[in-house]
Amino acid sequence: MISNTIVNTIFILLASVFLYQTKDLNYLSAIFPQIISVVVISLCTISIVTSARKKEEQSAVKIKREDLLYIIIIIVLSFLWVYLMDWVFGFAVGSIIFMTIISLIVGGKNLKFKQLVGNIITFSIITIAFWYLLAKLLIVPLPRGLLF
Amino acid sequence: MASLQYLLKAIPQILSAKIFFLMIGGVGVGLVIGALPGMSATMGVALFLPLTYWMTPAESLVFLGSLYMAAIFGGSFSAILLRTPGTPSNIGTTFDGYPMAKQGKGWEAILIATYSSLYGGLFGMICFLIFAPMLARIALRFGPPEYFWLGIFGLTVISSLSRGNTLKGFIGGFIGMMISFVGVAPIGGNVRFTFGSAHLISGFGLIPALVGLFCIPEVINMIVQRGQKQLFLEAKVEKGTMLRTFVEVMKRQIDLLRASVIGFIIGVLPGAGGNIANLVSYSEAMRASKHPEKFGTGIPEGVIATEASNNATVGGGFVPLMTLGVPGTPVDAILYGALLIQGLRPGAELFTTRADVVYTFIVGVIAATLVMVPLGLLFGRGMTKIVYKIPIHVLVPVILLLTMIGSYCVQNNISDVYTMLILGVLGYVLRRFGFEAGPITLGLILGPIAETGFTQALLMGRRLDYPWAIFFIRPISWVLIALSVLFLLWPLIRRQSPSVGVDRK
Repeated sequence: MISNTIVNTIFILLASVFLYQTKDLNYLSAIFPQIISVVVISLCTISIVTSARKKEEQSAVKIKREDLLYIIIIIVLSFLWVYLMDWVFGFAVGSIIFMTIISLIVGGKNLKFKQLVGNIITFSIITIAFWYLLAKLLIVPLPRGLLF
Repeated sequence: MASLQYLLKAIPQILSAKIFFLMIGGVGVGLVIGALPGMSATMGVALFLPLTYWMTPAESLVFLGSLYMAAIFGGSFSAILLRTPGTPSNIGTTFDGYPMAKQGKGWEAILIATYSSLYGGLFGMICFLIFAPMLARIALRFGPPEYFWLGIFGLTVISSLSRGNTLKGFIGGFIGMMISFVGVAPIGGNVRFTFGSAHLISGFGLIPALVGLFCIPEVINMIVQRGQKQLFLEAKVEKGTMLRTFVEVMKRQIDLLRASVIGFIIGVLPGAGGNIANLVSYSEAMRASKHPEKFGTGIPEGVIATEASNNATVGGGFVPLMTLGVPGTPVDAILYGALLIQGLRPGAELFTTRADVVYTFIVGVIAATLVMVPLGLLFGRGMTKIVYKIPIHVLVPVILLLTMIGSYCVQNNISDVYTMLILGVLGYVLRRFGFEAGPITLGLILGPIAETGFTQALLMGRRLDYPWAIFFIRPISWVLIALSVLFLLWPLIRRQSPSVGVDRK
């Protein structure tokens, strides 16, 4: 119930911000977002009221603290991957480096040295194949970074 | 009669070595592009368009048409095996295809998708051949009010897509619509809800949002399951599965026909395509089923509904493109460009002035739909084996790379990759609170269609005493309103039906 109320309240706040921002827009740009924002606010209010009446807790399976830590690390690494690929490493080098790091973290202690070498070769082949297909054959400008 | 003559003449044309190999090449490229998360059919056709400059008109159209048809089908592979729709037309395939894969029936799901795509693809092309001029005239009667109501009708699908909590489904759908408002207003022209960010002026792209909302939550689930050796356990494939599944799928003629008709009709309407058709078809299959509660648990009907409908939209989309010169979807717009590059002006006269090219194109795409089956099965078998055997510590980084490539290549813009990651994390959090990705994506797709229809209709209504009356005075609007109300109230009507009670007992 509490989680439902929190999420719906966030949606109500978001819709209210949208509704407030429409005051500076012309009629044709504002009218439809205004209607939808009012609908969202109404539906979220109904959702809060009905969940309060039922008083039942949505029992989502809790994530273990260790899993949560892994999820956060991989998400942060993904953002870092995109950032460094764009500014430093370029597509090919950046992808091989970060794929290997993520594989090491996800594999953990179970990952043997032989497997790791195999993974690095696989990641290199996949990345270079995509780089060649996109950058060379289809002339898609991939992130180059400082390296290439 | 003249059409039949041209059709017969077209057969030896497509069997000529060059066109035949281009057709196979188009199907092969389409399958790979479709199967890569985020690489849509539009992107595939756009990327390969420059290669067709040196081809003759017939060669170019057959190649691009084959690529288009195969990409729509290829998207089902990643939808089934990775819970990531390869193209927006395969969103619904994830609902039952992925649970089937989890149960060790990934190969069976691929077979069902293949045969349904074959049926839908052929149905769409044959209907295009027979009904094109007549349907094109009807499609033109769809004005802004009808498009607005079409958007609202599309939203009623949410009552089927949201499992367990319809209210949350609708909230998700409207939140999806709000996400679609970000950027430049389609009619008013104001820049809205960007919070000062230049990156958001072009809005949230559908492909990055789709990849993020479906794929990233699945990657996160894989991280949680990292202790396991593989993602899912593979069940033994019995001998004769291919033939048995073919017979089973073909026995479901009503399901196939319903899905194909829905796909074809939605395809004919300019502005609507496989992305809407597959969800509407899934919802209708659920409504028609005696066991709607089983949808989403991994049943063949769900895969049949989405895969037959999305391939039927291909033929449907060719109707306004070839007869009126009105490209209804982004892919059709690129094909329109391909026709112009080849010196052909799409329109009714094309069927008489360049009938040889048009009929070679039609027969070529029909043949490509047939070729798609063996090639698709080969590719699908390989991909199933890889996904089932690949360890999670390899799968996670590879999928992350594919999602990044898919969202980057839409506009060659790195901010789309950030958008994909942010929406992905948001999608995971929302999923944990009961807000599924399906309704949010549907809102994102329908938002621009409904808003454009709504504001244009208001402008049209200015000539009336009551401008808002424009929404209620046109016959097609009445039909769409009636359908929307009926489908919205369907769960209640169904509950009252005595036959359902007997069935449940």
